[in-house]
Amino acid sequence: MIDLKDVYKIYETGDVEVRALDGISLHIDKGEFVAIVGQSGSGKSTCMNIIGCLDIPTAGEYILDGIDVSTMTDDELSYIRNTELGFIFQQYNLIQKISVLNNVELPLIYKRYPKAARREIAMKALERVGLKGMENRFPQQLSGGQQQRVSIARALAGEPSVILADEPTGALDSKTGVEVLALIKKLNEEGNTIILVTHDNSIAEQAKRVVRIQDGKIIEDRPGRGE
Amino acid sequence: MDIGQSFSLAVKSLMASKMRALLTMLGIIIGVSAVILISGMGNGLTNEVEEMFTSLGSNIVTVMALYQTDTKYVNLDKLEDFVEETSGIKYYAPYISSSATVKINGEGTRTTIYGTNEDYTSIRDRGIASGRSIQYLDVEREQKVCVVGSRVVTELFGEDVTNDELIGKYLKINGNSFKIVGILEEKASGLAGGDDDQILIPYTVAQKVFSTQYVNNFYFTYENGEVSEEVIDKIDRFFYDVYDDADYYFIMDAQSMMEEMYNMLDTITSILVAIAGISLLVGGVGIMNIMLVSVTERTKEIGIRKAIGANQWDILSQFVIEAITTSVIGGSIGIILGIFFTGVASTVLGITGKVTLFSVLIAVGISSLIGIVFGYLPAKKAAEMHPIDALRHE
Repeated sequence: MIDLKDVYKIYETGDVEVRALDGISLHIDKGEFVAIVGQSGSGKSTCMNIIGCLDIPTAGEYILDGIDVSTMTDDELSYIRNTELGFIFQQYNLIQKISVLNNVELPLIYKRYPKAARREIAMKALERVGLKGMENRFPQQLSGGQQQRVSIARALAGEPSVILADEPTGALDSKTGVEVLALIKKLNEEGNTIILVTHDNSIAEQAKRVVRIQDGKIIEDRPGRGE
Repeated sequence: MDIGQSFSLAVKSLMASKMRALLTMLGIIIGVSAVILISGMGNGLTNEVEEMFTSLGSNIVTVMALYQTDTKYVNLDKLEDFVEETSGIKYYAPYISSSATVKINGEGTRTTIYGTNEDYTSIRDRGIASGRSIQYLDVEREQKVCVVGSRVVTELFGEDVTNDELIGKYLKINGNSFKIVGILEEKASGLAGGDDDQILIPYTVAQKVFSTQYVNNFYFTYENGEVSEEVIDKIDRFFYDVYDDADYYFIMDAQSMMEEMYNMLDTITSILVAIAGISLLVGGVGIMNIMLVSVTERTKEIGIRKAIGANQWDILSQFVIEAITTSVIGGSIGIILGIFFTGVASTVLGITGKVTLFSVLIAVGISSLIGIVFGYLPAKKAAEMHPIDALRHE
């Protein structure tokens, strides 16, 4: 379902060549729970950006759900992100000026769903993450953990093939972080494909598969402890 | 992208920082209210001029013969024949005016004497309060009769006498005895020098009394009360034939004078509106400026939206709609202020300004256009942001 074939991401600034990704090949099946782990500068963020269709490879192929997205335009990638992917960010990245419900509805707005359908789907997503009743609140009225849950609900609302979580517990205290991670695991058990990017080994080990990146290359790919 | 949500988002942003919103919209508010005010007052002025011309008699053609000699003069009999033949002319009155001293029973006053004919009162829309006006036979037979205006009556006889009592009395104009045959209806509130401060006598008599050989002024009116270029042409040709030179006489028709006045007012109003339009331009620049700031401030939000799946058009339209919302709200405030100030100016200047629906619609249209045009560049900038860079912002 996710197929990276010999992917390179090279930045050229003047004479200097930076290889953020130096030949990565990775295959992820539907329903997997994969953690991509590495230090800062290892290329894990670049890897996530490519998988998340926020960027395209300099060389190599990326087939997502049977679609070759390697050479798509900005607008085409937007469409793919909207239909195939769900994002969870470290900083939650909610829009402060609109309500929780409106935040969760966002992917559906860009899918051009009518108002009633949007509301229904968004409410279900909120319920799934345990935030039923909070739909009319605003992000600043919620705790960090709650905001992250809203972010997760938003990611779910679009009914994506893959959910990408970038350091989802990074801004949370350990107790809340545990709760959020538990929620993510639950989503995987319910059938969602999850890719989690982190620098924290202990978090990475909780996934079912651990892929370690260093210097733009995959140096390790083994099962995690996944509990 | 949901237009409704963009619109309400835009309104929320404006409400969130009211001071900034106000300053942004200031240019447009001033520009639109100025445009409404100027065009409203311009309208009002044009209307007043129109009314003035109408009251003067917009369907009167006035001819002034500037210079008459033995060889080049206006033959009144010929002129009368010409008027008979020309079906487009309804009334015709030659007139001589002169100021003179009027006396009766030891009371005296100075007034203006009009030597004219039987059509004069019809042409100048003068009613007869008592008695009759000048008649054709008076002119033919050079009868020393007169029709007196209300102010002259007051000056000579005071307030206590009725009009009917005066008919048949004699007064002296420059020493000549005239019989009063009629009293004119009051028209201009009896003010000195106004339409009530005059006496009408037959022009044939006036020529003798004032030793004027030639009549210099002529009134003509149109048959249907409607302006006719053809009639003006014919009158022009008559007088041209007298002199062989267009410089010796002067035709004034209120209609073309009015048109000239219109054009002039129009031009002036347009220039003023254009100047007011400059502040609209400034207003547009203000909006563009704030939109750029807004886009920069919301870089992260743009990144989020793009990550979620907004394409370039979604982001572009969101920000353009915000710009339009700002400019239209500013324009609406401007319209309300403009209408208010038109009312104030009308009271202060004594001219009734008239705000037209047309100018309001134009104002709304231009406000929207400004939003689109000046919002476009910042919106494009937002739309073209790379999501990764945008997300990393702050």
